Amino acid sequence: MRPADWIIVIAYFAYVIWEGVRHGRKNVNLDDYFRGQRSLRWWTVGLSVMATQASAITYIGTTGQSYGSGMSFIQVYLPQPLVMVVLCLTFVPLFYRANVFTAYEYLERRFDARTRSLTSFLFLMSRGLSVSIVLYAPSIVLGVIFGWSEVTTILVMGLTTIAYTTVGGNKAVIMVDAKQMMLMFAGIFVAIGLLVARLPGGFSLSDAVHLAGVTGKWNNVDLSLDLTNSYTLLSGMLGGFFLALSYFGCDQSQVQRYLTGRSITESRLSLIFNAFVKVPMQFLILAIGVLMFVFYHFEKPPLNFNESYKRLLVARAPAEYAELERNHEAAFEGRRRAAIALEQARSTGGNAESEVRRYLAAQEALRQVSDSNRSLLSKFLGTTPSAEINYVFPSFLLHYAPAGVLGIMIAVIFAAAMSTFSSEINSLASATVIDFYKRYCLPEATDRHYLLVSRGVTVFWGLFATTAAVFAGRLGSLIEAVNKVGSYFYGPILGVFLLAFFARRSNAAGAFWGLLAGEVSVLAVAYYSSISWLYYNVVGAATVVLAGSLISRISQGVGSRPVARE
Amino acid sequence: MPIDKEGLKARIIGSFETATTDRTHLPGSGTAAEPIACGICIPRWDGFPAHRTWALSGAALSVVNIPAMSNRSSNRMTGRKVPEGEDSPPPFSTWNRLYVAVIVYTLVLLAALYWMTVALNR
Repeated sequence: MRPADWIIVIAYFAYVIWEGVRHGRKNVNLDDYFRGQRSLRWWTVGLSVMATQASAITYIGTTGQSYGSGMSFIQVYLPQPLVMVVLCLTFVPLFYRANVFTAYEYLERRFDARTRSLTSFLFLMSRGLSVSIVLYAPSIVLGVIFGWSEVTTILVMGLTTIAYTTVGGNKAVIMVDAKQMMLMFAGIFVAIGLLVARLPGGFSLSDAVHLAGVTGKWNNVDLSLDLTNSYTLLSGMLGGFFLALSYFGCDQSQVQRYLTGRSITESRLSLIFNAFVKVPMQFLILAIGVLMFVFYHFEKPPLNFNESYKRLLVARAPAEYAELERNHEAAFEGRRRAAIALEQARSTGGNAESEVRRYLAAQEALRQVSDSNRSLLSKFLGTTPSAEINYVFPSFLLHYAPAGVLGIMIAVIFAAAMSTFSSEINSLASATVIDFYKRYCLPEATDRHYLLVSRGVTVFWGLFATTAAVFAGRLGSLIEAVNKVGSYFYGPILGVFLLAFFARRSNAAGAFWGLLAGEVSVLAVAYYSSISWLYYNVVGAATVVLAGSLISRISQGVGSRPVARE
Repeated sequence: MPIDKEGLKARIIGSFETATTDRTHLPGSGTAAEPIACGICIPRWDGFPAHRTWALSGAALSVVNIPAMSNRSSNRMTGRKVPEGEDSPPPFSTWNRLYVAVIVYTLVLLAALYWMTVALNR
């Protein structure tokens, strides 16, 4: 890191702490602390919604994923605009008019306290688990770039975020999120610009797009009906739809964002803003990975993006590793020549088909060297090495970003991680305080007391997540890990809300037992079947609605009565 | 019998403030159908009372337009702020048009991504 990079990173940290403290002075009660007095405009809320969803995993894991397997992940995001319409029509006006602090508060009014507590508890479980992974991701970057241990990095990141979130509350979180999101937008264009500028002379962006297509990286849409494949149009539009509906409609970390809008219109517009911007943004982030793949045709990629793996092999098997490095060098050089020949043949109208075959053979040769490297690693690690895709983007930045740009990109990754982390610990605190502490422990207390407790609970969740993050490194691809953990809970929670909104005759008993049935169904499907994790949301939500409706019908008279209509 | 319009309006507004946060008006609570019995408001499909349409018994005054709820007025039951109603119109003039625009946009995105897959991918 050069001085310019340090200045940018330090300025970023100074700003977020100042912003948090600035807003913290105005907090006098729970409404200030958790809902920002419902005073925010749609663009601020909309940017915060995006920033909360886009964590550092989005930048590190997703770019790595498209580097390895192309654009197919975009299909998971495709239904999001439609989800936003559903939310604007149903969830947003209901929550807003109910004047609730948490989404689960609504369920007590609709059903009973038991259902509210169970859903809130499931939220705390799922979010509490995944927030640690969100924090772990940027520690990888700084581990690679600064050579810090991941534990140290997690502590620096975690404690700073805990400080400004605890002091500033939700309004500070949202105001900082908005600025962080703008920084993240800038980072996307900076990264793409850097990659395009680094392509060799005579090799245009069009050539890069073509070369990526030859290896199947533009696999945006997969029409297969394979239920075990997570990245098909079917799994995206169906599983992704339910996942997004649950995340944006029932996850307190998102509901709390749009509850701060100054009117229902502002809250709705914040989501519509996301509907228009999210998919193109995700496309560009994935395109960074594809462009990196092309870039590494002309600059030799490391055999191990994870430096610790390289050190391990150099120490434990120096001869074998040296042999692997030689093979890697030869395979890389073969692919580089094949790629140039292919694009020359394309531009001059030569025999492109034979050049394509030659290129694909060279690509396969490089992959075999990589497989040999992983086999050797497995031998010494005693287990399958963790996915290297999470190290690709940080490694690229470290070696190829010029002074200043590196600082911006590090600030972007910090911003992505901290915006999500801050929103999540703030929402964990609101669910804990509103749904449990205020509901069961101390319903009547002074504003000062609740504010103090809320800050204490924010610190607790922050420290819990920070500690758990230390152990998150054993998981594989981070992006999948987060969504997998969430998927065990998302579907059933969504099912309860669908039951509340649309099943007029459902009652408390149906909601509670339906929710448990939904949880059991998700666990059974996860354990006994091989369908993609994205479908767990569909299974969970459908089971809750069906079982909940059935139980409600059987147990009529128990709990709340059905709604009579005009 | 003459109708006291001002008195009725005051009754309606007072009841409305209670109804917006009173849990008995939420769907499934069992009493959402009752407002008609007291001649005050019509519950919407979602169980919340309509903002601007009010049905009253009696032939002389069938509909009363209530202005949008005042900003940040405090609710007398809970002390929480009463939410505002709709304010400025959305882009495309109406919400339905905006939603249709989002759906069309999604289909265009899908078509563009599919075209890329077919045209650029081998």
